[in-house]
Amino acid sequence: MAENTEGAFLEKNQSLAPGLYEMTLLAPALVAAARPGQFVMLRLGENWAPFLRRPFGLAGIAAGAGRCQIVYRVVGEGTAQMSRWQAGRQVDILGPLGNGFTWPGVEPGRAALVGGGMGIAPLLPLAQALRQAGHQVSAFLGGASLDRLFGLGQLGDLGCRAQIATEDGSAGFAGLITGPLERYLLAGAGAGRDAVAAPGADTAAGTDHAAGTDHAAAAGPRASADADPGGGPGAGIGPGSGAVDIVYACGPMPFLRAVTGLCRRFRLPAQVSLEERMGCGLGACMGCAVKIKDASGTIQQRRICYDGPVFDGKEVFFLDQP
Amino acid sequence: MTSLEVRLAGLTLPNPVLAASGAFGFGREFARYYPPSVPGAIMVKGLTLAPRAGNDSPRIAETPAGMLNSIGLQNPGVDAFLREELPWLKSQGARVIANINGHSIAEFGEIARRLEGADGLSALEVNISCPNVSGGGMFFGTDPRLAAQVTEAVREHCALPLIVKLSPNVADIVAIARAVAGAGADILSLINTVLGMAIDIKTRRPILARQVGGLSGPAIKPIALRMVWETAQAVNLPIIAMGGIVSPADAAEFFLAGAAAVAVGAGNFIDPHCVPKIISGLERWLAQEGYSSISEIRGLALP
Repeated sequence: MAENTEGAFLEKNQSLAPGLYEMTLLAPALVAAARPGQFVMLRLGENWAPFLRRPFGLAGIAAGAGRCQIVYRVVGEGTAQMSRWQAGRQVDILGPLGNGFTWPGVEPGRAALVGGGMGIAPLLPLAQALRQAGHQVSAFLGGASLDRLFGLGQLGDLGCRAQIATEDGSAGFAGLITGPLERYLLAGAGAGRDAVAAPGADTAAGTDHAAGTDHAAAAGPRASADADPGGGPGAGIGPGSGAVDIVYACGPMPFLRAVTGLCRRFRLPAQVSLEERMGCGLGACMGCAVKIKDASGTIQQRRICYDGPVFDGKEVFFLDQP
Repeated sequence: MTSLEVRLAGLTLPNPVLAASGAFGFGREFARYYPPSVPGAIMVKGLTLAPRAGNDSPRIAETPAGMLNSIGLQNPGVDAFLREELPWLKSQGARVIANINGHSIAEFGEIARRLEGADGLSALEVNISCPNVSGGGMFFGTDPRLAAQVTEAVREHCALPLIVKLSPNVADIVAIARAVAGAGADILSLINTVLGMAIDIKTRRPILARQVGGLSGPAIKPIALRMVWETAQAVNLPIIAMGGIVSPADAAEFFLAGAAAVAVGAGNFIDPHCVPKIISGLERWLAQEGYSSISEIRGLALP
């Protein structure tokens, strides 16, 4: 069976920025079964302090080496404990859990990966898998400030074009990442879908955009998640976008609401990975229920941990959505 | 040779470690870790007459050595259970106990009627102690007269062993236990979760959307143990004990307090292998201590 509950060996636990850490774990059975978008549950302490395991999206999957990475920010006592763990330690880990992202296997396509804060993590192994499958990847990373962003170097090494936005304006676009994403989609729409999507154009691995961040948009106005009318009357008829075939997003709910709003407007398929308070990660406690609107329009409670965490962007129902 | 088999009022189980209702779904989520036939029985997620979406989020809050939940009986309804879940559980060789929840005494009776004669069902557990729903729920479990009326209404349609699940949120659990015993219960299960709450000091608001919820986990084990110990002395019915059991030693304490079987709830959330680990640990411990069955240690800590 796929799940490894035997424990992992902690190889490295390093600080990426103040309060931001990356852990490298050796767990061959778990890693062999893992797909991008899946997560693991870590037990942090003995004697039920804290009681529940903590969920972390896999931020790196190296199947050959049997290694995986998780990236975490110290936000409470549990993650503070984790930040003090030394290399060489055995870690009680459960996973891989959840469904993960999917992508087309044949036709090379163009994917936009949109990450908000810690939601960047699961997009990193996805970028790697997409590039290996020959797809073109543009990344849009947003966070409160520059030191909340990570993975830029990896994305560059993979040949992904990345744009960043920070809410405090410390780097990239000053505001939310949906600003640069919207502009990118609009530019693609202007170019015309068919022209840009001509066979072979702009999709060959290794020959596409330069790596690194795009600071050209830094002077733009602060974007608001509410600026996009999304599915409102008349506004839902978008031009389509010639720049992107599919959007993958992970981040907090307001962020995902804005991203899926753009996807509706541009009629783009989207896969979104949700974050919510999680109890067991196994589908048993029903603590992480989220409202999902299925194809028939029926709103149902689904478990993020077991039915997700990745859902079709069209199905996620936001309470304040028209 | 050590045997873990137990008999509780006509209910024979290969081992005395059950999966508690609300902590094990309908068994499917754990089937990738071990077969559904491994627990002594599976007490399925609380069933209602109509499907229920449950409460708004946040529905859980972590607390010291435990957690609060206010799921609100999210379930597909008794008919969908009969159609989609019970046949699968039966095919997997599981022993299934249906946990039932009504808004009214008549509704409890109606759910029992629909379950009457269902193939693959081993017992009914009448939940008069859910703290997370308005109308019904714990309301029936805090008044001896109402608790007895619910028991009678279910008994009328229940030829199977009838379990009544008691609430700890009462001044005198023994009074409730006596009332349901007099009304035809065969087995008692205790305790359900303890009503509690948690507040976020940053937002100055309760963490749970429904403000209060049920506390479970090792934090409530001493409360559960005391209530089992008291009830076992006063009422001559087998007891299925639950409340913070996460280890073989925890289970052993409850047998010593008079329980005939135990059930694991929140323990499943922190370790999906919790139930089989307790089963094998108990077997080792009994053999090591020179006992050949659970009944030999049952109630040794009673006065």
